[in-house]
Amino acid sequence: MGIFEGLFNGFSIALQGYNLLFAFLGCLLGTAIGVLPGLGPAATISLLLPVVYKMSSPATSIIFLAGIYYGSMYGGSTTSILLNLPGEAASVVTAIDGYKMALKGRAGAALGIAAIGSFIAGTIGVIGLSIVAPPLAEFALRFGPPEYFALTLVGLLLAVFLSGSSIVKGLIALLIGLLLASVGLDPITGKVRFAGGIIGLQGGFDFVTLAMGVFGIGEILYSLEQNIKGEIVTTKIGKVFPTIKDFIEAKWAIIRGSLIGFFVGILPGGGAVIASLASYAVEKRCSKKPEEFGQGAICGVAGPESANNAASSASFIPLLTLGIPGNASIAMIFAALMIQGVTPGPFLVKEHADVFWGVIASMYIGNLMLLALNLPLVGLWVQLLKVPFGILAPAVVLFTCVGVYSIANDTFNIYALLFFGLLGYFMRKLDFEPGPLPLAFVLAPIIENSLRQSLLMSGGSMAIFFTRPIAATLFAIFIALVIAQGLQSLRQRKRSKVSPEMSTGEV
Amino acid sequence: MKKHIRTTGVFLIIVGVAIMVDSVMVLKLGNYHNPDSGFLPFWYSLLMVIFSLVLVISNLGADDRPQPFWEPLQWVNPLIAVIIIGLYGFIMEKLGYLLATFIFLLVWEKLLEHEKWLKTLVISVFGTISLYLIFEHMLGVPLPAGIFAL
Repeated sequence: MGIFEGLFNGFSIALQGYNLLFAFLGCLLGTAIGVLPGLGPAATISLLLPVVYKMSSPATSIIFLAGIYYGSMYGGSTTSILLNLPGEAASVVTAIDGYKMALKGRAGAALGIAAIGSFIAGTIGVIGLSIVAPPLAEFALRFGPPEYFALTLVGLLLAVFLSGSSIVKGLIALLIGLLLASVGLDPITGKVRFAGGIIGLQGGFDFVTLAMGVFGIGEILYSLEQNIKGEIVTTKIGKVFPTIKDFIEAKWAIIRGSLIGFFVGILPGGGAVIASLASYAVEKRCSKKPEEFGQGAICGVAGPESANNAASSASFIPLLTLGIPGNASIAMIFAALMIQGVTPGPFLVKEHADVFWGVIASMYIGNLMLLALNLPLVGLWVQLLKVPFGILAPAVVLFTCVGVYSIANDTFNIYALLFFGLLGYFMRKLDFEPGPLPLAFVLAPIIENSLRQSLLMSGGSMAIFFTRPIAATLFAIFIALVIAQGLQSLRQRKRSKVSPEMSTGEV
Repeated sequence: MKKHIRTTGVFLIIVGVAIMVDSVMVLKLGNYHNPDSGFLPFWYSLLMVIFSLVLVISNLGADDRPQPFWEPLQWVNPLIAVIIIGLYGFIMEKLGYLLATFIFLLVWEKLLEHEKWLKTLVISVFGTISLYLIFEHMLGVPLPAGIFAL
């Protein structure tokens, strides 16, 4: 099926009433949680995974969850600009110049350029996705177990290196995820691992429970420490349409942001957060007036906001073509596909063309919906911030408890949820980035199965990973990444010894 | 912070070593040709022990700005929430979804949010009913009826 034929087919699926409704609901919910600080897209998608069990069509459920993911990128900018409170991590840099613009009475222009930039970038991202994904999936058909083993390792390593926080902590989070995934029945030998005689553990932990615990309950427990009270928004928004002059000033920032976002988004581990940071750095360097950055430069809003949207579309590429999720939110969508009995990977384009093209086509429609939802209704979204935490928190907790209970009609899952909630809480308190944990958990079966199959193929020889060209290239990348990171850490360490006041104190 | 990170590192080393022992003694490692159940957990835990060791070593020395893990009484609210959630799991099958959820919201609003009785009652009743409608009717999730089944 060619790209145009595929897209045509996709639109015929995405434009069905039911799918349109769920794309709209996803975008609406995504914008809402993007606006609300605390609940990110990964947490929300994990909260909704039990809903996916009840949906009959895999295409509809992924259209819905994808809408939440890219919708949250639009919503995230609103609170960054108006309140200096990033609704989600990918909008942190938007707050720098966006909030300054709001203080100067240009909140409307900042919100407008963020929404328009997001729309253009989202569309560029989706076009790129339509073009790149099918040939990549075709290429990935050549992958055997050794290639998958190498690719998964590179993906996990990149996810840790790019997560932005301490690398050693990221690696530990990753290994905890892998170890948690090995609890329960070993599918090959039939032995039960680390269950400690607890019947509920013999089947292993459930991904939905883990994700809801680490992201949902962990976040709530952490917020309860701080006694958040509702804030009253007083910033005047004004006109939300930027002037032609604003647009001309920001147009290259939008294009550059879209391209940076797209390429960072394709990388496993690269997501919206890194894309927005990279775009801000590039804009500052490219600008004729770099001194304006930090003081309300419109390019400092347009670039990163475009980048995070393009990245969120592009991060579907490794998922839909290789079956490797690149970040925590996409890992949730990976889990949703598995729940629906669809294995993401190179066969998806052929075996589930409705899911593949339906989701891509829904993103074109979703981006249009988001533009309509965000520009005229921005005032309404800000009102959402008045929902008191005292109602939101118990609602989220009950939703997660009933959600995990419904997976197996067993209260054991509620205790498991509590365990993961505590894990997420302590990780936040100790500054461990939680992202790599669910990613590793989801990818652990791929690692284990592909390693065992590779060793069976080679008769126990590790040489199989270095004699096949694709696997060897991937391992070379893996080793190069480790060496580069090691050298960088050493250099940082040396520099921080020379000037201790400059040190960040993190490894 | 350094002290808390060190403690975490030591805790992870102990857990990692325990998993390594279990992988070798109980699950068995097998060989490269035919890896047994303990093979990968052994390598994962070995790496975790190594990285935890790096974490401990890189956080040796005194803290520049020592700070307690919890500010005074900061742990109270999370602990109350953990107890409420644990009890909710315990009573949900016994008392049924409706009563358990009502009690959950009542206790949460009173103990954690310190709401007045009237507001607490209104939130608890409306919260219980709206979540019931969402789960039972919109999503078709069968909820435990508990004592209401009688």
